[in-house]
Amino acid sequence: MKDLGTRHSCKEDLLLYYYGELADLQRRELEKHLAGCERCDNEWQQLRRSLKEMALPTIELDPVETKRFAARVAERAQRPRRSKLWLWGGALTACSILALSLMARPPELAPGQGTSLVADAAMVQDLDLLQNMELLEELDLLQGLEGQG
Amino acid sequence: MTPQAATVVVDHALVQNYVEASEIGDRSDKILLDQLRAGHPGAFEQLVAKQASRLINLAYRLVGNRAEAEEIAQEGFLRLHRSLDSFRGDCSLSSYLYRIVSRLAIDHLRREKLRRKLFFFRRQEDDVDPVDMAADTGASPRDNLQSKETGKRLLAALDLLSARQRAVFVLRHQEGLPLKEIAATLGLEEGTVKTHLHRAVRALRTELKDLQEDRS
Repeated sequence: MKDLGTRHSCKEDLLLYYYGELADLQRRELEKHLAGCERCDNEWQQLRRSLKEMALPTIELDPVETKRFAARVAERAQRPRRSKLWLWGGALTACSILALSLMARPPELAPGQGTSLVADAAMVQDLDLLQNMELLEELDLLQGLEGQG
Repeated sequence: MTPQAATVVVDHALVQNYVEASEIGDRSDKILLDQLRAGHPGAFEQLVAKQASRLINLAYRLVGNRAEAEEIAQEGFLRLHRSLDSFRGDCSLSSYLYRIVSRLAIDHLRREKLRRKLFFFRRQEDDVDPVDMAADTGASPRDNLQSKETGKRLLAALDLLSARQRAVFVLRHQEGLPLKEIAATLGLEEGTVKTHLHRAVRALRTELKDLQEDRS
């Protein structure tokens, strides 16, 4: 613990002193120090002044407002608490829908069937090219016939 | 007696008043709780009416918006109602409610900060300003204007603090709760509470420096 009688008091001690939160011994030491130290005393006066000015506004509730508020709270307290059953119901419904949609899915494909389907699909994309190849072959044939003719 | 010592005596007197008021309040709360458990009609409404102003104000200072503060206070009362059977009275009813509301407000502030970060959300400027509705009728118009200005600036400055720093500052500075009780309310170590308080005050003083220089 600091010896407040001889050292300059720190701001935290002054703050605790303002709020009456210092232990008796510390308080006496601080008072002794403040009486003899102008610098700390100035600090203390400034802190005291600024804290005194920090007054938060107060809401004045008139009796009618208070009564109305109390009645509202009492009425809310009597209301049965909203059951969370609907949450469970919702979750159950969502699960049922998911299960039904899974059951209604077409049967599983046989292993290996999937890859052949992908290859077929790739072939379909190249169909135009295949048709062109046939045309090219026919073009060669036509050119041969033309040469003979 | 030095002026400094006089200030501390005043603070101690405030703490003493706080303790006495708490004891009287605790006894009447206990009676209301017993009536509520016995099924006395209207006991809960009475209990809410008794604590409403304190809790709404606490929540308002923590979140800075009246409508949200009322929602949080309401949720605090509803949680008390739901846990009546398990509430053993280890702490006073007001401490219990302070704990619930403070924690709800901290959660709310964290969510709100995240929301603002994500959606660049800003509070609507044309909302009714509760600071305007909370005029001090005993003060002069100039003082009123100054205190309103300070209140607004302070609320804005509080937005810059972390949720915990804000809660510690409000509970100590405005609600007058001892640090030990704040630690219990927020489930923190007392040393951590002191650090939060120190950082909060430092940040607020920096933010409100111009206002304080104008006054002096």
